[in-house]
Amino acid sequence: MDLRTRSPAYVLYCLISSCLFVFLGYFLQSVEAQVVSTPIQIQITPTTILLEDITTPDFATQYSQNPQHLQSKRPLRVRLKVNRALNQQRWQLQYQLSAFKSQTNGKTIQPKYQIGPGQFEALSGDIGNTQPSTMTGTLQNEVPMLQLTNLSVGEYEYNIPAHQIQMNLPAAVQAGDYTATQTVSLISSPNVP
Amino acid sequence: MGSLLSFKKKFTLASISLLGMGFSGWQYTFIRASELQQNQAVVRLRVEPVEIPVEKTLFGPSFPGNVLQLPTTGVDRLYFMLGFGFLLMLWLLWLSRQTQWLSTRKE
Repeated sequence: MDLRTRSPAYVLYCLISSCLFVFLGYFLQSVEAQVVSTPIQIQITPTTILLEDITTPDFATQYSQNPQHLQSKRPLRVRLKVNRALNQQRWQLQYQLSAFKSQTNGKTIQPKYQIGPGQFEALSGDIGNTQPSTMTGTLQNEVPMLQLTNLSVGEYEYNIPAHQIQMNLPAAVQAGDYTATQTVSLISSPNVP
Repeated sequence: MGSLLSFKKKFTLASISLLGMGFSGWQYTFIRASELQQNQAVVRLRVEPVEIPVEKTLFGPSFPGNVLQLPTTGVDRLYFMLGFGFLLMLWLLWLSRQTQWLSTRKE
């Protein structure tokens, strides 16, 4: 068969049909698959214990050539909501405060603190065994704030009054607005001392 | 024909299996018991510049500068007083012309 003797429409028809056959073959091959569906069940359960409504200390001062001993104007409060009884389970509340950084000139201040101990109260539920700690130093790394064991279902509040939150500010700190990040962690692990 | 394994071998295999199961269980407990929650917030510190106390007496030694917030010290005060005096003199001259207060002409 000589294609030169055939009309172009015939040649085009042959090409298109060949392409269609190849495509159809590929399609038929590709549908050889098996679909197996397995039902999966997901159950979302509430966390055993929740951190809620946490306040931050508030400091303000005037420029001074000498180191200053400041006291917070606001208490530090942490609320806990316990959804399941924590029998024989040890929890620890940890606290961390980064260095203060200026928003204008980028300078940092690293004060020293003395925070706590505070009072642990039950808004509802029974207080288990608690052991508040006094946090001292730069608080750049996480330090223990409160030890908790045997808490029942309920809501609790750990409150450190404002006068128990003290900060030693270095001398000659440049005037301006500074911010630091406060991190409160609640951890339960066999590694908790 | 008894079993292919002796009692000693069976006991050893059972012990190893039990130890393995126990280790897995302990590991599971360890992973399950490690829970962590974190909350982050911003703490603010404001360091204010020292304010220089200014005398705010009404008729103090630097009146009227302390009330009107005009220059009260040094060369600025001198220039202010000279300028104020010059303006006052001009005004008095204008007033005298208006009222013929200094005029020698008799009506």
